[in-house]
Amino acid sequence: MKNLISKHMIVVVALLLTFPLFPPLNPAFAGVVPRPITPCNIEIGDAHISKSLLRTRGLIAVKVNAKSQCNKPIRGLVLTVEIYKEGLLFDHRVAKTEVIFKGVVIQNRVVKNQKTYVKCRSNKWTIYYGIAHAEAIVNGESMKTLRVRSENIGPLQCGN
Amino acid sequence: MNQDDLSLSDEEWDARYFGLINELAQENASRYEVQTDKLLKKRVLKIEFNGAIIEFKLTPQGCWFCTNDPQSQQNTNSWIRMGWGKSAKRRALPFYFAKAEASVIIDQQD
Repeated sequence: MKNLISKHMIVVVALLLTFPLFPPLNPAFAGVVPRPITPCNIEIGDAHISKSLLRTRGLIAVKVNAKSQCNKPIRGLVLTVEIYKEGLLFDHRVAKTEVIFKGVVIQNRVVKNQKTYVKCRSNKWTIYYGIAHAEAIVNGESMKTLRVRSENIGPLQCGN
Repeated sequence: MNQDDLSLSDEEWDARYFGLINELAQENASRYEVQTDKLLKKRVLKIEFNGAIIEFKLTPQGCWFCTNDPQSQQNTNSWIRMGWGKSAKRRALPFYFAKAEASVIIDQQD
């Protein structure tokens, strides 16, 4: 019986350790697109400490921006940005913002989602990254982009 | 075209956005305290601000807000992690109310 329990324990621990490696379960596996490769695209920046919030209010916050541009007019654009922090077993989502553009976005107009940030609670070094994706109606067809991740991921002095 | 229009960073926009959040947080501190109590008690809260409806909903780890503004070309949905506890949420909510209202103002101006 003891042997059976220990075998089960090993399997559970092994599964937990490999869990973050399963791409559908770990957001960090979203594709990185350093430069947009199509004329209708989204682009996401790296997680960074917002200088503006630090200057105006002395608050430290991590921010991620994203933008979308398309060579065709698009309708019903929803541009989503999520901020994740790296965890031991899983990465944790700490903020998410969806900006919904109700009307038609004319061709080649740059639209941005700059509202995604999270305030820091301590000075602990933590790794953050952003993930962006979008959906819109292009030529009467509903289209979704792939999930794209920040290109550079590094630690920031921001515990959350 | 302004370089900031093309780049991902926009210092001017950030200054306007965060300035607005700070201003609202200071001006409406007492109203936000009342709203915090209501939201913590009922877990959902609907308010009207500048002609827009803002709906707040608590989740186990954080809070959502969704704006619905008939005058604006944009709406914003946002979720932020605040922590499991009630005290963590109580600390974070006043600033979050200011963030939601700043979003409405910015969306109406953009």
